[in-house]
Amino acid sequence: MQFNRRTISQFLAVASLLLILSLVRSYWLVHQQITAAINQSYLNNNTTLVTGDFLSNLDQQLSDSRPFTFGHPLLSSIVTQVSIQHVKSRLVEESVAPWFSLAVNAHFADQRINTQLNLAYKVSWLSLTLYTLLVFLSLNLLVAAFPNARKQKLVNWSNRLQKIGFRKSQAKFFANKLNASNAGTQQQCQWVMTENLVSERTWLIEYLLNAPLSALQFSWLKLALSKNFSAKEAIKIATSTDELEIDLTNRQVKIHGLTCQLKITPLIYYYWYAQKQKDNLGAYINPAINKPDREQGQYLAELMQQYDGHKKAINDLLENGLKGKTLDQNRNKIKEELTQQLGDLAENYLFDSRRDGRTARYQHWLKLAAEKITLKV
Amino acid sequence: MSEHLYISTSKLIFVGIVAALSMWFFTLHQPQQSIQLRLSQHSCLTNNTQTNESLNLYIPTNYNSQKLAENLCSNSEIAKSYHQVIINWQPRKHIGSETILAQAYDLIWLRDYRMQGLAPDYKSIYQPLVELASYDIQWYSHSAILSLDKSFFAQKKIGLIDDPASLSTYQLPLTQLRQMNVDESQIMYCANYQSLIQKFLNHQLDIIPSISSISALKGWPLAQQAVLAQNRPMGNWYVSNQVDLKLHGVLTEQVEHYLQALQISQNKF
Repeated sequence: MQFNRRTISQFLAVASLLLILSLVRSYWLVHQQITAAINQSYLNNNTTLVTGDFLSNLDQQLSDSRPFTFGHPLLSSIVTQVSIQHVKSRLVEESVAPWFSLAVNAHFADQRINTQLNLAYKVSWLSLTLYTLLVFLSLNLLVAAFPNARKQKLVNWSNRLQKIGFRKSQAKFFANKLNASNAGTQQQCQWVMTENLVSERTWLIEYLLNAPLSALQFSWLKLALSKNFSAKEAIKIATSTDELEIDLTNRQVKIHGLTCQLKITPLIYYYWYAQKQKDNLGAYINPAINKPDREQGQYLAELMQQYDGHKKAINDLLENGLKGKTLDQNRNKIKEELTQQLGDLAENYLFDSRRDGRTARYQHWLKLAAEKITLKV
Repeated sequence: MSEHLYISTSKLIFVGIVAALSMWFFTLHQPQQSIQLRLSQHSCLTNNTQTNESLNLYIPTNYNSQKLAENLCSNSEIAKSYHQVIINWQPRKHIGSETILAQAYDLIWLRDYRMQGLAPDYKSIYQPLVELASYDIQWYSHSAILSLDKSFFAQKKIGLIDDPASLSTYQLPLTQLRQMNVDESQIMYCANYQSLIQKFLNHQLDIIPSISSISALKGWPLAQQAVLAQNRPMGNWYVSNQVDLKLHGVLTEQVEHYLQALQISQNKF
């Protein structure tokens, strides 16, 4: 048990409950005694006329009466003494009696005497403190004795968070947050905690808890981290838009904010396919084996010359035109190189294919929608 | 998860029960004395603090009793001998032989036969101070009374007071009703005189017995009255021989003044 704000408020809550209950109970006892006394005296003399004199006599006797004192089997009761300070009795018409009334109601013949009392309570603060302490301690021990799954979980989280460098108060705060977050976020944080190589893990966990990532985004984060990016850069990559940027000048592609390297020949072909996608020309059908595409061969050769491509590839295109086999080879190279760098995440940036119904030859196109592609020359 | 729920629910219930029980125990309050009210008496103090003597009076009703007490207290003659005046009007059945023999009251208003019955030799310790004239008891009705018989009382709600010691509103009328074989389920017993008169005036009762000097019934149509009994003793005021003879004059004066307020005439003694 720790003495923090929560403990103090629990203690105060118990104390005020005890005090309120004591006041209510002692009031109730006084109420009962006065009612009984009036009724008793009435039984003793039922011929009494209820007059103003009679009521003021009753008031006088009640206010002159000795204070009511109370005891408790343990020490002393919380309310030790109740004295009557001010009494006002009046006659009320016989009607339906209220189920609860703070005033004393006594029946006299056909009339009801309603006696309003102002009571002064003498409280033993020592008893109140001691009893509060007893109740508070026993309840806390009882609660502690019970297994508490949620609390255990929180402690576990908190310990693990402290181990990776959170301060104690922070760890508690984020453990609560972790516990409240969904299973996906919990898994992501757990992964971050176990990954010893990742730097700035505390920052990363704080970020993940404040702005949860989708499963796909988290895959990107893992990829970026595996490439030794800092946590901040990795988050930037993970939260990038789903975009492909092909930059011929710098001979690189940028996928989902992550820069990838491609050799110049596959890069040119990648660019060429992307251009087709952007120009909305439909899927390009592989040229027939006996009839290479001279026109596209010429275009590709010029592109390669412009960006310092391999001489051999340029000559081949100029002499023989664009062949289906060359296209297949280069697509495979793109796939190979991107998969090597991006793993399964490369899949969305590769090709789809279908056999053309009329020519029975294959046609290929980029899976990525045209508006997600940027070309830089 | 269901196990978790089971554990936390049972824990909540258990801790709740323990909390409630301990709260109940620690807020126990045991009353260490009980209050006793003496609502059948009025008292007041004179300005004499030299003595502890009190002047005790017994009267059968608390009507105007506070006024009587105050008048006695403010009287300088009485203040010379007494510190306080206590007027008691407890039910007549509580007045026993012991009360008379011990001279618990310095001044008593009772009927002669009752004093006689309680202490046949009462005259050696009490003497009459004021003797009251006898009085008549009438039936009062909301309809004209042609003849007092069973057929007249049929279907009528009859009011009496639930005090067997009362001559005018219990003993005499009940005896008469029984002689006429009136169905006793027609009788409604009221707690006191106030309530009897009030219920009659509210038409909750059709017919009641009463002494004729009640102001609320003054001027009641004669056709709606009938004699129940006549010349009944109203009792006398007796003074104890413990009381100084010099005070008799003052006490007589005060009693007469009080009886005037009650509209009861007395024979000068």
